[in-house]
Formats: sequence, structure tokens, C-alpha cells
Amino acid sequence: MTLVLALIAVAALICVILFLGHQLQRLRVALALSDARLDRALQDMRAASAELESFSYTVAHDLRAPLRAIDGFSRALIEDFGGELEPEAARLLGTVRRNSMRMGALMDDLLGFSRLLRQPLHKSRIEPAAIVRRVIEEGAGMAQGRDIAFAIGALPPCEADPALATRVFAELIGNAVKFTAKAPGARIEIGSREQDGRTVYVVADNGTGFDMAFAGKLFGVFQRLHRAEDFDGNGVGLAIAQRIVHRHGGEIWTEAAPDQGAIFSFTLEGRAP
Amino acid sequence: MNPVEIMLVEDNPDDVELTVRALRKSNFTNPIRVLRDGAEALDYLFGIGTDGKPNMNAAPVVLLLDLKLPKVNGAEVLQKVKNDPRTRTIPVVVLTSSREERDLHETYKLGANSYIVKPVDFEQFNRAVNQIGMYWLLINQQPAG
Repeated sequence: MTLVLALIAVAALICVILFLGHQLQRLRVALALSDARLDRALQDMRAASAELESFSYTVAHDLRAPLRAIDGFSRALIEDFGGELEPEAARLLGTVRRNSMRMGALMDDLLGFSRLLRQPLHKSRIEPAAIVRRVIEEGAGMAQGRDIAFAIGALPPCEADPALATRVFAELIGNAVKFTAKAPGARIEIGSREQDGRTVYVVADNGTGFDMAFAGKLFGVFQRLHRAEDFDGNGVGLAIAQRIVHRHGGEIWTEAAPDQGAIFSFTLEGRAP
Repeated sequence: MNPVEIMLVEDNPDDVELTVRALRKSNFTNPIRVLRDGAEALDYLFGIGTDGKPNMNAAPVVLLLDLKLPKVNGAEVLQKVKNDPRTRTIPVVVLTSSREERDLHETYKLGANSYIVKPVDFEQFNRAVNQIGMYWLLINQQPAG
């Protein structure tokens, strides 16, 4: 009796082992397939990255030369024939020059942006409190004698690329300084809170704010929610901040209302799995 | 003695005109020799003259070099100039539109003496050319002979 039972048990065991072996084989095949797919995707990504690099090189080199000629020869015209030019002709030439310079600035920003995407991340422990103090000190020029009340709350350290994290704070604080220019009693608060086990850094201002209906456009490259004559800028600052945050696995979001200021919140680490 | 000469290797005629103009506006009256591509530049520096001897007496006081050139590119010209004992002491100023770090590292590694990004703004461009002239034509002292 026990022998029969033992035989049945052994037979069952053999069946299970055979079945598992078969499953393992299937898994191996699936794995090899997905490996091949991963290799393909990686190759595609490398090709795309090389293409992006040659594209930005073209922007850097080939597009600047004609622009320099437009500016240079307009200037030469003013220098050599300025005395003979009607005031209106001189004004029109001035507009040509202003626009070529603006295009130069846009190209520089675009290049800076694409360089940022290619730059490798070097993470280390950073002290946002020190970063924020430095950003405010160095940015004192941009506030140009304005009376801005900065309030710096607790800013716990974290793991991030120091240069890139500095850039995020600089873009957000610069943004707050710019958009409080028309607000009496400008106040900019920089602090943090704990949320879902992550540190959320916050930059809040009481400036001009914006309509949340347009919030989706806020982080796009060259997207602007304000007219050039109201606030200058090329519309890359927040796009840069968002890309840096995403490259760290973090998130960035905003809450605002017209004339009620804006609050930018971001994390520099991914959600806990 | 050959007159103090500025050698400008640049394929874009508009950039040539603007650079020459900027040098003249800064009152540098030195003869300027313009070469339109890398092959022409190498021929000018290392080619054989009418007397059957190498053209070495034509060595300029400063060489202004664009990086992106037809035929032989600027980096290759730079490499040849810096690897030949006869031309090694010629200061080479790389004048380029490229702000890419890669180009900057590469050209300094090859022995460039300066790296100037040509600004879009003509006034800045004038200032850059003026400073190049001031430094390399007036201030910098080179070994004799």
C-alpha cells in the first residue's frame, strides 16, 4: 500500500518537474525575445540621441552664421551710411538688428536645453538650504533694488545632481522674482513639506500668477503665458526645470490664480514603489 | 622680414568681410591673408613656393581659424600646424560659431592658443576681434626667428 502511494507520489513529482521544465523553457524563450526587443529599443534610442546631437550642432554652427551676417551688415549700413539715412530707415534697421539678436538668444536657449538633456546625471547629497541662499545672493542683481521679502523655511538635504538641482531652484526663484515685479510688497517663500514619504520642495510667490486653464502649457519649450511687453523671457526656464526634475524621477506641479501668485512644488526623487 | 600678417582661414565670405572690417575698424592695418578652406591653408603654410623652397617665410603672426571648413577641416589644419616644428609657434585662434564643449576640448587638446565663439551681435563680434588683435598682435611676445 505504502509502495503504491510512494510510486504515485514519485510519478506526480516527475509530472510537476516536467511541467516546470517546460514552463522554464517557455520563459527562457520569452526572455530572449524581450532581450532582443530591448536591444533594438536601445539601438533606436542611441540613434535618436546621435541624431539629436548632430541636429543641435547644426543649430549651433550653421544657423548662427547667417544671423551674424544679418546683424553685422545692418550694423555696417548704419555705420557707413548712418548720416544719409532717414530716421525711419534707421528705425527699420534697428528692428532688423533687434530681431536677429532675439533669434540668437532663442537659439542659445534651445541649445542649452538640448545640452541639458544629454548631460549625464551625477548624483550626490545636496543641501538645498545652501543652494537657495546662494541663488538668492547671486540673483540679487535681477531683483534690481526691489524690496522683496524672502522667507526660507526648512529645506532637508536629498540625493540629486548639485548643478542641475541648483538650476531648478534658480529657475523657480528667478521666475518668482520676475512675476512679482508688479506686485506691491513682493514676498517669495521657499520651503518644503513631507508627502507620501518624499520631500516636496515649494517655491511660492504673491505675484501676477496665471490662469490654471493654461497650466498645461506652462512647462512647454518656448511657451509663454504673458506678453513680451509685460514680462520678458524666452519661455525655456520652466521647461528646463521640468526636464531636470523628470530626469531625477521626480515630479513638478503648480497651483496659481491670476493676481494671486503661484506655487511651484517639486520632488527630486521617484515615488516609493 | 615678412610684414606682420594675419592669416584668416574662413570659408564664409560674409564672415570674412565682417572679420576684416572689424580688424580695420580697430585700426589693425596688418596685411590679412584670407584662405577659403583647409586645403588652401595647408598649401599656403607648407606648400612649395616659386623658388622651389617651402613657403615657410609666409608664417603669419597669428592664424585665425574657423573649425568647419570644406575639404580639410579646421581641426586637421590645427593638428598639422601644431605638429610641425616649423609652424608650432604660430598662435592659433579658433574662431567658431560652435559653443559645443566637445569642440572646445578637442581644439585645446590639439594645441589651440585661444577659442573664441563668434557672437551673433556685431558689436560683441567687433569687441572680440579687437581683443584678439590687441593680444596677439600687440601684447604677445613671440620667440624671434
